[in-house]
Amino acid sequence: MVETFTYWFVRYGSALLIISTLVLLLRWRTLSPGLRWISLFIATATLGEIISKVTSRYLHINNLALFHGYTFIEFNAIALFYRQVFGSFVPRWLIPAVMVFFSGFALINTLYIQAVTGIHTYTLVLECLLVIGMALLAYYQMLAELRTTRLETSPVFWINTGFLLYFAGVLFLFMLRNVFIKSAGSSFELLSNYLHLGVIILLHLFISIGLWLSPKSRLISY
Amino acid sequence: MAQSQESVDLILILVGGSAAMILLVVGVVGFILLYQKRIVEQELLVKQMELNYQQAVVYQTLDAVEDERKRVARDLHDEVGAALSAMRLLVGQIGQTAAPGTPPAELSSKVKGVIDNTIDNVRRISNDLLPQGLNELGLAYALEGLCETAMNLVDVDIRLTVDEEIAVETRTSLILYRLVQELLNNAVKYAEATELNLQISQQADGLLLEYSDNGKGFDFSTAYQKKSLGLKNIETRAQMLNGTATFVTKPGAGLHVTVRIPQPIALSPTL
Repeated sequence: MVETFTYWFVRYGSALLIISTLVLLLRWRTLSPGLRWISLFIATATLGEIISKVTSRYLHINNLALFHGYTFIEFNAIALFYRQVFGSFVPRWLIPAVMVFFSGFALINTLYIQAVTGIHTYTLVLECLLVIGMALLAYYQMLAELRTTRLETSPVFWINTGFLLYFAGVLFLFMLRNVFIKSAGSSFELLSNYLHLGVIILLHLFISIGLWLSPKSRLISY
Repeated sequence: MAQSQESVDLILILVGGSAAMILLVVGVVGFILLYQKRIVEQELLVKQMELNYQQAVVYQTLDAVEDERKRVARDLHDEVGAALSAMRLLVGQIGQTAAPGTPPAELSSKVKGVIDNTIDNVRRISNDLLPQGLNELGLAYALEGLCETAMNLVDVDIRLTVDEEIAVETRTSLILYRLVQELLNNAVKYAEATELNLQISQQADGLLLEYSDNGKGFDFSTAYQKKSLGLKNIETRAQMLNGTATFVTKPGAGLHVTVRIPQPIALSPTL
């Protein structure tokens, strides 16, 4: 039974991304400019998941090239969200500079360093490190500014926590897979996918909570 | 062998992954606790500042009451007390020099003079304590008297405009009177202005008092910090009526004061 559940979870669990999509559509009118960039992230994730399932399960073609483009859009959507969150807390040029740096690195990596039909591990690791950095900086900003007395009602807190848990989890999984774990048996692959899917669902649940808590007045941007 | 290695790897990833996630969650929880602690500290700081401010207001009020008492005591001692002493002396002389029942005309005239001065001083002291005509004839009348006094002291043109529709209760009238008195005192003593404009009008949301002069102006922030020019008094009196006072001035640019009293002022029976 456990094996059936695990198999079902790995195969169909990504459908739970529909939760964040539904919440986004329901709360669209109340979203501040910063939170609207999350819609790009959710749209990219949902579309990416659909394309991934179709190409791998039905068309049986290598879709890793699309993964390169997906990472590019995903990171820039997250960076644009953090740009709105930080405001004048960091120099205005910092986030655009990070976006240009990452985009440049991703392009160079895809074209010259790693195969376009393979997993772009360097870009993924860089993405994880940069997003973790931005998430920690957002925590620092919250502590420094103390904009809200009830942290649990802040959309940015939930979304930021989701990003931190997801990208830290993915980075750790990645390190375990490539640095510490030498064997690559099928059980490990399944467990790795299982854990990865778990953190994806956690991320989208946190994003859903954050979007649901977006204030009714669009004047509030935090 | 390969099987056991794979089992070890699986256990390692499970334990490692769980430890990492637990560490992350502990970090997030720690952040939440630290945030709440900072919020509580900040709220405590704000409450302490409010308390200090209220304490300062109370002390200032008590100081102001004491200053007023000292002033009245000094006026009574220096003027009324001295006049009564003079009268006693003169009455004593009348008894020594005149025939019984017939006081000399000169001494009588002197005594009358001293009595008249004493009556004027008592009237002035009484007027300072409670402005003449404020209760009986209204705020506009009392303010006219203030403006006339100011124009007698310095060479200045004062344009006073008071809406006819204004009807305010006694307490509000007195506070507004003191507020204008403070403004005019400053104008007379420091402003070196040649024109003053004072307007009191009834707005939809309350009372509006506007004062402006073409005097020498001053550095507001410095004066406010030094608690000079009665700025705090003006602000406090506005706050006593749940209102606000805003000052616009700089050296060489005169002074503009706007006082807003938010609530519509209720009609009061004429006293």
